[in-house]
Parts: sequence; structure tokens; C-alpha cells
Amino acid sequence: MEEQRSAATLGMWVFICQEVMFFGALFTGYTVYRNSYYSAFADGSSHLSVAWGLFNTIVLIGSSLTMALAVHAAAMNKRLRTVGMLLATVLLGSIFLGVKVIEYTDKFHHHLIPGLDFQYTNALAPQAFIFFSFYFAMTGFHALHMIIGIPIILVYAFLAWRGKFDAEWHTPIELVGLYWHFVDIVWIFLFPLLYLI
Amino acid sequence: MQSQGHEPHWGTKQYVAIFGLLMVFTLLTVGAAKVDMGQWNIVVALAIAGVKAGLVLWFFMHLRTEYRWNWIFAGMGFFFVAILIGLTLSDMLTREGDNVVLSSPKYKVTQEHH
Repeated sequence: MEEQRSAATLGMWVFICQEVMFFGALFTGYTVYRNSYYSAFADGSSHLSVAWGLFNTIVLIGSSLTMALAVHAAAMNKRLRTVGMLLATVLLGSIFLGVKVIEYTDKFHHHLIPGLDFQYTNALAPQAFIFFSFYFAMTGFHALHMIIGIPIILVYAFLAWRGKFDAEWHTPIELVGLYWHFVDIVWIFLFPLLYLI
Repeated sequence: MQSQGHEPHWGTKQYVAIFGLLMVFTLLTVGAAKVDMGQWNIVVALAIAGVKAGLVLWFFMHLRTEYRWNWIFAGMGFFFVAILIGLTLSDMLTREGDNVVLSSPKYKVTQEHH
């Protein structure tokens, strides 16, 4: 059992390694353009709500906490607590996504979506265009990762409720936990780089 | 063969404590952003983010109790991204004059303020 668990865990880490490279490429592009167009990036960033970003950061790290507690509960054979913590993770993740909808809608109303009637008030427009391209690409892919993760966690919550997991074997919950924590780490970097310039 | 035990001394309290630490660092990063430190702002922001990521990796993702083999894969991705960013910057930061050519995207510059 332990061999299977450690093999599966390694597999998930390899996948996470790949994901780091994927987001790393986006971060590199961001680094290049932030370096070249710093004032436009700072100006564009001022259109982002630090309040919503901070709220979302707290929510997402909170969801990592509930996820870690879910894995812990599974390891302690606490079936209902496992289900509860997994559902709490889904709830917090959904709140995060809801806030992103609010933020994106706000951007739409202010004509800040690149390619969708983008309008900017000053001469930094072409550079701000690039900032917002990065904003939507990076938070968009991040949100996509959450949209994929949430149903998976829901499925495991259901399976946990049906008693599929116990202290000896709860590897799927551990693995989806690793995935979810990784998504959290991406946001931990996204928040200061995009919102707090 | 080192055993991957379920941490007997770890409970809900310890996880919540790590969460508390993460919250402290989150507020710290917001506060630090309000202080103008010039070039150092980005360094501080990334350092704090690195510490937070490290906390998540070490405690929430159980790197603390995993075999070393997993650490290698965990670190490998970051290592190569570090090379990607590092070498790119070493090129860009040592250039003279304008260094990025910008083609005109579809945008509109307006007069009104929003």
C-alpha cells in the first residue's frame, strides 16, 4: 500500500513540476514586460481592486487549510469530517471564482478587456493593453485550474461519504490535495505581482 | 527505508497555526506594498511570496514527511523556471536603449476619465 501511495504521489509531483513550468512561462513573459513597461504596469495595476484580491487570497489559502484538514481527517478515519472539509474546500473555491466573476465583469464595464473594445485614458494604452493581457491570461488559466479541480473534489467528497476511503488508503484525497495546494501557490505569487505593484 | 508516517504529533491546531502564519505574511505583503522602497518592493514581495509558498509546500503538501525523491521533482520545476527568468533578465537588464519592439494592438485611446 505504501509503495502504491508513494508511487502515486511521485506521479502527482511530476505533474505539478510540469504545471510549474507552464505557469513559469507566463511569469517569465510577465517579468519581461513589467521590466520594460513598469509605469504602464503600475498604472494598469491601479485598476485592480486590492480589496477583492486580498479577500480572494484569504479565501483561497483558507481553502488550502480545509483541504489539508480533509486529508488529515481521512488519515484519522474520520469519514464525516473528511466529507465536511472537502465540501468546505469546494465552497471556498467557489467563492473565489465568484469574486473573479465580479472582477472580470467590472473590467468589462470599464473597457479593460484586451480585444473587447479596450479603451484606455492615456498614452500608456498599448502597454497597459499588455498588462491586462497578462492579467487575464494568468488569472484566467489559474481560474481554469480551479474550475477543473472543484468537480474532482466534489466527486471525492461523494466517494468519501460512501466510505471508499480509510486511514490505510486515502491516496486520491492526498493527490487532489497536492493539486489544490499548487493552485494556491500560483495565486500566492499572482496576487502581489498583479495587484500590489 | 524511511517511513512516511502520518504525523502523530500533528493535528488540526498545527494546520490552523500554519494558516495563521500565512495570514500574517499576506497582510505583511499588502503593507509592504504601501511603503515605497523603489527597486526593493519587488524583491520584498517575491521574498514574502516565496516564504508563503514554502510554508504551503512544507506543511500542507507534506514535503516535511515525504521521501527526498519528491523534493527533487518539487524543486526541479522551480529550478528550470529560475533559469528561464534568470537568463532572460540577464539579457534584458544588460541591454542599452529601447529593448522591446511593440506592434500596434487593437485599442482605443479615449479622452474621457472613468
